[in-house]
Amino acid sequence: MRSTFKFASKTALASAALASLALPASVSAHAIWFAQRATQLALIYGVGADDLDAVRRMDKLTSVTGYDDSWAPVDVSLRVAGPIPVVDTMEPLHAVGATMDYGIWTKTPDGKWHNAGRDEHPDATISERTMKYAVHLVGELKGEVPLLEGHPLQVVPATAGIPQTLGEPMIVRVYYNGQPAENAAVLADYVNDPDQVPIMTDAQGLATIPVRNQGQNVVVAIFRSPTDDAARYESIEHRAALSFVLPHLPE
Amino acid sequence: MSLKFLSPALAAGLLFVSPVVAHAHGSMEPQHGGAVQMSGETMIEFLPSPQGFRVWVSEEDEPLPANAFDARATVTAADGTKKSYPMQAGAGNLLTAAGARAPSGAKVDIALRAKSNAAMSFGSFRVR
Repeated sequence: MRSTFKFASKTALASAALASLALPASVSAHAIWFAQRATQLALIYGVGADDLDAVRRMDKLTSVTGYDDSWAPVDVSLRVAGPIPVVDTMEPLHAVGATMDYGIWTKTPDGKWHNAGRDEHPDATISERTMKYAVHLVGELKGEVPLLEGHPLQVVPATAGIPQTLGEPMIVRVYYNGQPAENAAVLADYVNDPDQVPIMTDAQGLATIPVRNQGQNVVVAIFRSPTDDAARYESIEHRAALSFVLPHLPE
Repeated sequence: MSLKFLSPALAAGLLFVSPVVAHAHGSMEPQHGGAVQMSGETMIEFLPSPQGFRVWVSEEDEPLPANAFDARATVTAADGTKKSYPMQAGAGNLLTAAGARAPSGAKVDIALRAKSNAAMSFGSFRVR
């Protein structure tokens, strides 16, 4: 599967930011991201240390895309390797992306979640459509991360390159439909601290977070956009991950 | 400068290796005069020669049988032009891409797919 991308233009940066409707109902819902498993690059579905069954959710994926170090597309696919899906390609990757339409969910007063709209559950207290996106950087980032087609919400480093040491500040910018996203919730460490108080983006879509791990980092942005089907759900929750790895010292 | 007139040792001197991204036990010293890089636990040693590319594969100092892999070398020239070469298993842990060439400034990516479980390993080398 292939995709195209564009770099954020200065025009986009100068435009008014798009603001999230409200804080997410919960930041501790599930996201997708990529991580190394047994030397392979696996697609993870989960939250915190919950590494859930991504294989049975592969039918919800809408794209898997790979890029070389010029951000030109390369052929990639996911293959099932036992209980996990892993990236399969014979071409070197600089980045890989995935998008998932997780469908429409409602929560009824009895606390149960249903994979259906509020047209079927009129007493629902929450109704939403959920979209998930993941971008993973392989190796050290050189230059900027472009905005990828098919990723309406994307969190990118606001500067060229990524700090290479645990604890350093990192400025990220969140985009929604190519515009800076205001009031998006940013979680600096989705795997090891999923309950952290999120940092909210400013009017330029910017947030400064600490680099949390001298290893795998999964930064997640959450943004809620207006419904496009009011009869079935109140809003659309977008959840975008940016993952990257900082190297450790030689053994 | 063409690599075809260079001795293996000199050719190796023209290589530098992208940052090593993983470390495992075993020597990181090249055994054949090439440049080495770790991919997970697999060490890939790359050496251009007048006949093409040669790659040796090992893990924790033990050679891995070359016929256990499907392999490909991709050369990306400085202008972004790419050319791929299938690699053939030779004796022991040697893989070769006969006739492969990498101009100065090119990046050479070695991709290995294990026949047993399709696991991928990559090595990335740049030719000065």
